[in-house]
Amino acid sequence: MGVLALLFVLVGYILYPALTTLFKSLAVGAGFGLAHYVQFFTSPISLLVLRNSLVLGGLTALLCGIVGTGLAFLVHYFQCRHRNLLDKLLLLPVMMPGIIIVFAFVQLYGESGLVTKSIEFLFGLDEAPYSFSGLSGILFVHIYTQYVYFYLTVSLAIRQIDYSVIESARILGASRTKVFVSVIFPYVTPAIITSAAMTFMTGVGSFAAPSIIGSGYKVLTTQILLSKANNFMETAAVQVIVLTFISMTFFVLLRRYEKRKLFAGSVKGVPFQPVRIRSALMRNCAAGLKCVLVLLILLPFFTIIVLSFVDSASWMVSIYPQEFSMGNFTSVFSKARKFRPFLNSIEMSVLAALLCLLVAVPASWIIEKTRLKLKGLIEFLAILPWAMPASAIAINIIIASSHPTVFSFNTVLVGAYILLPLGYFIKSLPIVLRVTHISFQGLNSTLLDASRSLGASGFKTFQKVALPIIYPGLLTGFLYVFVRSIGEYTISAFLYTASNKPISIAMVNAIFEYDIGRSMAYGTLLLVLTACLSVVTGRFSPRI
Amino acid sequence: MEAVVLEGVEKSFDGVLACSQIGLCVNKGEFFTFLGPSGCGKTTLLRLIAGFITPQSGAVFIDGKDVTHLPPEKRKVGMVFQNYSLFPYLNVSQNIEYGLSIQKKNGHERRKIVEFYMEMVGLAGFGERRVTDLSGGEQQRVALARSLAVEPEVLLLDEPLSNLDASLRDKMRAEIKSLQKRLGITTIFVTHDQTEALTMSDRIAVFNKGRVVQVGTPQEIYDTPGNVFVAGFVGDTNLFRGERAGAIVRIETGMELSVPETSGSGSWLSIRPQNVRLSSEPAHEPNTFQGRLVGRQLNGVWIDSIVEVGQTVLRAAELNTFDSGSGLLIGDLIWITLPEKGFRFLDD
Repeated sequence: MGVLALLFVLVGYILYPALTTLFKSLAVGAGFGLAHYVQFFTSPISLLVLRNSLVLGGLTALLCGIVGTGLAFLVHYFQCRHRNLLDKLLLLPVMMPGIIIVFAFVQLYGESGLVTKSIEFLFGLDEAPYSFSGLSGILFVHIYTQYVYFYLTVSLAIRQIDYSVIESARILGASRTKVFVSVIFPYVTPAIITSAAMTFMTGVGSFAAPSIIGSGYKVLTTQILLSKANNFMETAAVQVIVLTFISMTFFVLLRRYEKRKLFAGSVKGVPFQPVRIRSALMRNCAAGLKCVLVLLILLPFFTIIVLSFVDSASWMVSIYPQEFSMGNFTSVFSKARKFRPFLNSIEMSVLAALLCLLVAVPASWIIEKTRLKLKGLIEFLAILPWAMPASAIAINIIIASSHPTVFSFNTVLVGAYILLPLGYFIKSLPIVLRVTHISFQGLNSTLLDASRSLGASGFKTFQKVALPIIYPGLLTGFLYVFVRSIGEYTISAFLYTASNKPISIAMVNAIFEYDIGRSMAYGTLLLVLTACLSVVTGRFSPRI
Repeated sequence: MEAVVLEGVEKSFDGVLACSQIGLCVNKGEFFTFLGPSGCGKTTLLRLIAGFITPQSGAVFIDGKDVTHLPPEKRKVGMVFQNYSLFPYLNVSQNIEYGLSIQKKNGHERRKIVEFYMEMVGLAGFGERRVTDLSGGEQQRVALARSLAVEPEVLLLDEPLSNLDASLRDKMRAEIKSLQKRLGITTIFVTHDQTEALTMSDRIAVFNKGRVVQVGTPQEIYDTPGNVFVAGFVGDTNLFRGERAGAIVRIETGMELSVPETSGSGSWLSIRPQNVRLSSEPAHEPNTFQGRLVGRQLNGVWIDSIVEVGQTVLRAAELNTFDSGSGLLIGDLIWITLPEKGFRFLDD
């Protein structure tokens, strides 16, 4: 019975919406056909947009790869002072919702950004020496938000290098260069390839940066919103299917590669010892580079916080803001209309997090602790959203909710409040499943057997034995979804309504109303909330 | 002819002395063992010979050449690590071939050498296997073949048997020894296991607290330990502090034993358990005492007993044969004889 309920949710809210989009894309008049696809693949604009998306994905993977891998080596391969501090700082960008980063970057490097204006002022230039909008701007934001994939996985790979393998190579006659090519490189290659696939997928599916600073650079995700806005739902469906297909292909390749490439020694290795940079000049260069990096990483955070205290009206003519006050915060907290989005986002994120746990806990229990035949299907459905860009998830929901079905309890859900938290839930389910899955792996089944042998029922065993052990994982999962959902922009942009406005949309609206201060005040509130929750999560979290 | 010579080698880590003034010669073709408890400096010394660390003072010679400041890749030594350290992303033959490709041997020659050594370590036909799919013993053989394939002057083995289970360890012990004999390669073996050291070595250096305390053949080390530490570390023994007065030694627990006046000096008396005789009848020999049997335990080949004579507790070991120890039960009053020939006087 419970299993059926679980399947009802997974099929109804993940598989069924995806299939309705597929059918929509194939619907021609009363029957089925490929007309919409033919139209897509013969339209020069569509092809350009497709090419742009692929180029964006490829360049994102390449640039993030260079930056993230380089940083991992700088901090973990070579001897590095303040390693722990630097390591934590380098992870900061993932804590910040993407939309806030985009705005912080606009305020810093945009046409009238603080850094841009400072450079013009210092060098006496009449116009900005670079263009922040278009492909280069998007890539800049992507590097900042996504190098972390490479940084994390490559750092982990470096730390897992068995130092005695390096010594083996040396004693077999390998020079330092040869050791690098024949030992270090093979150890980190799987991490690089995995991260490249991940960043390619996120790059292709990225929406926040292209929609706000993309200007002329059109990609699939922005076109999907355009199609939806013009109510060309068949076109949107085709675009979603093409986008999902690209993601899905990479996802499948990635899973295959991970299965094939994983290796581990049978006997425990010797921990990796960081290498000393021998030339003093290079050491100084590395130290200088680290300072610049810290500055680049922290600058957006400072910008958001500082600008949240600035009265927008007072900062129109001068380069740097002159007057500071609490005005933006008092305005947010005193006017219900302005405070509502903040509260609303908190509510919806809590709801999404609860939904995730409600599904992920029984699902990982079934996957890890039972021999149920359906468990393969359950796992497949629950991780399916990994391969779906957020805009695809949103369109799937819109198309599926436009008709009453058994999954919508025979009502039309268009514009309903529940759609947004449902979208957040679908987007975060795979990662929560991963967290709960690890928790269940830590739950020794002999403990459960012991409880049963002492006369406890199945439910009692779950409640008294399993729950206390998996509880930290559940808390981590909950907070993780909360943090990911509260500043979420893509799904929000597709599914919000006037009566159901999340904080990310309120930020964008404030910017369009030239109320930068209020937008940044929202940003600061999100940062504070995220930081507090990260501290709590860090206290309890098992390692993912 | 010496293959490896160490002269006054000294190394400390953060002020803690790991190797202190070590001078040793290892002869060509010899199987030489560094034996000692963990933390005694034996592995540090091996890594000094390999070139992974340089000594603060002293010199290392391999084949007559001073290699003290040469990097490991230029020393012509092979090494098998405790955890084998195979390249996990390469298959068996690629692992063995690794060093040969650095030596720039051509493809045909490389394949021939790889086949030869795979055959030699009993892995013929395993070439395409992933090393991560191999058992511990098989991984060990790959590691051995890999370091032998480059034909080093000296083979260094760092506790290579410690990760194997007991029965496999016995087997590999014999295999490594016979391989070494066949190839005639100078081998330095590091272990904390006295059985491994005694059964495999031509000579043993016993280490304690960063110093070499005795060098000798296995027989010499066992029969004539140079001091209390060696006697206690290599094989079981009964150790007593004693005072000599002519032909009598009075040990700390009060027992008085007659000893030949020429039986060496030293304030410690060591008696191996197998040199203690037990009997239910009094023997008419010197150093026979009545005592009580307080412990008795079968170890397969041996039967170990614990006997109390007044304040003195002695351990005895007798061969477990068809007629041994008949009728001795815990709690019995029995007779114990300590033959003078089994006495060894030692210094601290």
